[in-house]
Amino acid sequence: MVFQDFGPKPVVSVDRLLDVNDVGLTAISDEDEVSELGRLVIQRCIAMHGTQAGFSGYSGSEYVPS
Amino acid sequence: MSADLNDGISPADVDVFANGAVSAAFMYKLWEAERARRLLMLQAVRSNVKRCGDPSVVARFEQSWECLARCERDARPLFDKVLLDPNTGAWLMDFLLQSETSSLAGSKSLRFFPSIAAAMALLASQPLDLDVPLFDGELVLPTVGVLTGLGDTSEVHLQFDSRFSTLTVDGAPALAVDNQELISTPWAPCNWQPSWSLQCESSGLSMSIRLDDRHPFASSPHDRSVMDGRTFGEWRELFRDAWEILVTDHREYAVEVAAGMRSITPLPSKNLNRVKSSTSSDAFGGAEMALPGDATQLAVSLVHELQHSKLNALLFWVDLQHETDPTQYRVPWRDDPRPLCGVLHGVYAFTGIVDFWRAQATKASGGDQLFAEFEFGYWKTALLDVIDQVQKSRALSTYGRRLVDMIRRRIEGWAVPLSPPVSEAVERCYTHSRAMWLAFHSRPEDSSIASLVEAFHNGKPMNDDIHRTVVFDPNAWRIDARAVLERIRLVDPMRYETLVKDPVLALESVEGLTPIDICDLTDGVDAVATASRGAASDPRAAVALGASLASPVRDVIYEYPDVLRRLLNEPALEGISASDIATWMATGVN
Repeated sequence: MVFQDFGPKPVVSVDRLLDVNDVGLTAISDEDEVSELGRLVIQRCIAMHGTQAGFSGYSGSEYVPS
Repeated sequence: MSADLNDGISPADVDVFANGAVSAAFMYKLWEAERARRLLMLQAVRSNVKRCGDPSVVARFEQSWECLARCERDARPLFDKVLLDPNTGAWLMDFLLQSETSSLAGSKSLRFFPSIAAAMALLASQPLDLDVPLFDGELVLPTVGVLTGLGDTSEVHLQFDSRFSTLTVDGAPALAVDNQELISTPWAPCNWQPSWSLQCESSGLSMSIRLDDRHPFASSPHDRSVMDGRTFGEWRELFRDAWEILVTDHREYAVEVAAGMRSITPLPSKNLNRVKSSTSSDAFGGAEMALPGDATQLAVSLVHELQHSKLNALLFWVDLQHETDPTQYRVPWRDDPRPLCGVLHGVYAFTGIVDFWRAQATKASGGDQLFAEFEFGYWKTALLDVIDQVQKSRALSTYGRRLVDMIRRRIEGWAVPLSPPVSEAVERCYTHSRAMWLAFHSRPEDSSIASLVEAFHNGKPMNDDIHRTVVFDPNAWRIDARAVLERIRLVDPMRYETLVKDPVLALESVEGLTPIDICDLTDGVDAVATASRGAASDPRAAVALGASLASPVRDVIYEYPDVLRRLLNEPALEGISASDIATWMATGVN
């Protein structure tokens, strides 16, 4: 699995993604295969997770306070 | 249109994220997007499970799925409560990766699915009839609570009888369910700990947050802090005061936190001089945090961690970099060199911190004001230094460049007059910590060193055209320890005097401080001798030597501590003292 992929990225449409909330889980899960939108989202989620795991897994810091 | 732009999101859309706290309405929009994303992740997981080829795995998964789907259909707000729990995001990502890449049978994320479904069903008082695995002997029901004392078993059978509103565990009545509240029955065969929830209200603005101490997909089990009544009381008290600070002096951030933060995973408290906290890109709206030392620290940490979540939300839509950047950057908030994506997170998060202290500096008084001024001055200096580096990167996308440019403009417009002692302390601390980073991680190239040795022998001044690379030194730890001590000097001079007079106490109290630092702070002559002896082998000593000398020799050592160390190790310069080499370096560099 390639995590640090800066080639063409899947483009997720904001409106199409938000429509999923209206469709609901039962309807989207009736499809046999993950939808095209779903595939884009999953690709993006995995790439994002991998990019961050590549440097720490967490955006952690130890902030010096008083 | 630039090739790295995504349709539907203009570069100007990034401005909402760059301009500070977002509105509650915008934050709810981010949650809606997060909800849709998680639904699609669930769909993908189910699709992968169906394809795994193991009928027993599919059958068990489907039992939980039916329960979950029923809740989504009949009780959406309660389904959402569990779905949008930050740690549900961490579980989902783990499940997704597992189901995409390896066998699911026996996987931790598959085993946790019934717990998710059961939590939803119980909140919604929906039918429930599931075998639910335990984790470390505990039955974790996300957002609801934890059952313990279940004996030596790996899973239990849960049934919810809606006629009597009772949850049975292996056939024995354990919990009564009353309007989403689960209450242990007197005859329960196990112990029940409801989730630790906090509610705060101030000037008409309220927030609710859970302290999620048992979730198996939160922090490492080795690094979690299990709550008890006493620690919960400490968190509750600190939250009440932190909320008051946020609402009173940082209302826009308070609005954002109320709409955006859902849970905190408590970490063990180890060090009152530092707030340990982090945010996972998978757990939107959550953070992991050790109990801070005071309410102001908690308030700024909430702002800080939510910045990370917001940036993660933005990163789902757009790329801030369009190609790999091999540069390892110097950032003052970490001991290690960082890649561009990590630096951008830091820049964004610390912008919230500087903004917080900007307001705090105008409202505090006495020692608190000095401290707020210091934090503002130090982190503003740090951010501008880091942004200077980042803006040179060719890997920034159109969005990334716009974000960084906007942040820079905002920060440059922030002016808080610093009192002279604070201004001096900021300068002293920042140059010192920068020098420490260079001493540990910067490496001059051999050709540059050879030229310098030749120049030294020929009596020529040092040429500052020195090629250097970054090599991570794992020994770099708490390299900003002197800055911690400076803060103490600023806000609590008596404590500072006690520490420098008692080196053992100082070394115990401030992590990363070394005897050479104490020596430098107490005895200038001895410090030069000690630092000179150690400078060749010890990065800290090289910087301490700089600290013990006057400008311009100090300035050149701070700029080139790595070069000084290399020269001290050159056989051709053997026998020449560190001070002599440093003095020579200062003659050639402007």
